[in-house]
Amino acid sequence: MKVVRQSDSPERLLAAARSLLERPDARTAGLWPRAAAHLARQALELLLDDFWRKKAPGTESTSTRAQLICLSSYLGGDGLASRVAFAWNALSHACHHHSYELAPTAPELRVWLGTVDELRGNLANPDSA
Amino acid sequence: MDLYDVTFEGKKTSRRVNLEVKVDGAEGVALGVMSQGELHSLALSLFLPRATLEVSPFRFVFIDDPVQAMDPAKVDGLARVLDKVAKDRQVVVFTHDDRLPQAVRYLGIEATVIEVQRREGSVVELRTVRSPVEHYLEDARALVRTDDLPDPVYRRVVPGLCRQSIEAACIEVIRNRRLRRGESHSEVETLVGSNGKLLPRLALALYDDASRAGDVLGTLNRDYGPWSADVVQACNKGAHGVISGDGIGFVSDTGKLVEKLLEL
Repeated sequence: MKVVRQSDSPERLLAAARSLLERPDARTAGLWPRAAAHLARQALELLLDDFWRKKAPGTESTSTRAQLICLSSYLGGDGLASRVAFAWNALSHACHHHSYELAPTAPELRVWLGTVDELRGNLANPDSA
Repeated sequence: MDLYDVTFEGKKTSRRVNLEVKVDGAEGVALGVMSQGELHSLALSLFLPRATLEVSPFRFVFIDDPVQAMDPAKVDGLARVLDKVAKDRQVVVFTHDDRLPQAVRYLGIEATVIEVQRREGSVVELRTVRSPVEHYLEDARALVRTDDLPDPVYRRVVPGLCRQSIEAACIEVIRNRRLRRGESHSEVETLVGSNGKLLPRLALALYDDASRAGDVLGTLNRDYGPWSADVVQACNKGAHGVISGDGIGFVSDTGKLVEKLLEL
């Protein structure tokens, strides 16, 4: 499911996810963890889309699993690709309800958001990585 | 929750460790305010650094059921911590909880998962459910079944995954053989490390002699069939080579080859 407006950039989605985490608001009480996970996952998927469109057009329309397997061949070996795969799996898991499981906590979400942000930084300045 | 002083206390023959924690700034003693899962995590966070100190003569860690009562995110975190420890230690974990193998799988951690089944009279059977060899093959299989994966991506990634699977099989063969012969771990790791390329590794697996890399393709051709030499050549050329035929066949041939290698 991708309900993302054209104008939504990964940066804006990430910022929105962060603010859900950091600013308590009666209107988002109870739903902020999963909402933040949704936003962060969309940001990650948009980043991947954009990356493949530049690097290897067509890959963006394959399954995210396939994209994540390919990612390490394109990002090099500092483990970022496996952290990204982990963050995506964790965020996807958090986007759904699971019996006997709590929604993710703020520190957990912060780690995954950090990974998405790291990917954003890496893709923006591929040479500094 | 923050951990503060770890102090030792003792009278006569009894000894204890006190762990001071603060929960959002308010003081408390660890045991009173932490859940079972948190206590497990805390115990591990004290145990692992001690067990992996440079002065420790042991280069391995055994942990029995560390994930019990942990929440899912902690299980993932633990898997990553253990992966780090496993960079230069052997880590053996026993668990009856499927979440740790699951985390190992989706984190892409190079671990071997062995299922222990117990028959009547406690006769134990072991079955390898997953190994690095299988891990790379599984990813390769997923990719060749992906429709519309652009050809350049496919050619860049799939042979690489197959090569890694074959190399993992070679390493397993080399390790088992040499350790059984009484060579030390560091000797074996140095040997494997200094022969990082596919053909020398295959030569070590096939003939126990890295210098015979030039004979590998001929032997494969003769003993297993031309398909096996084709697989190795395609893997070796990587992105520059062309996988003949369909990708599904290529990956399943790789599977056949690693099976043969593991029988060595």
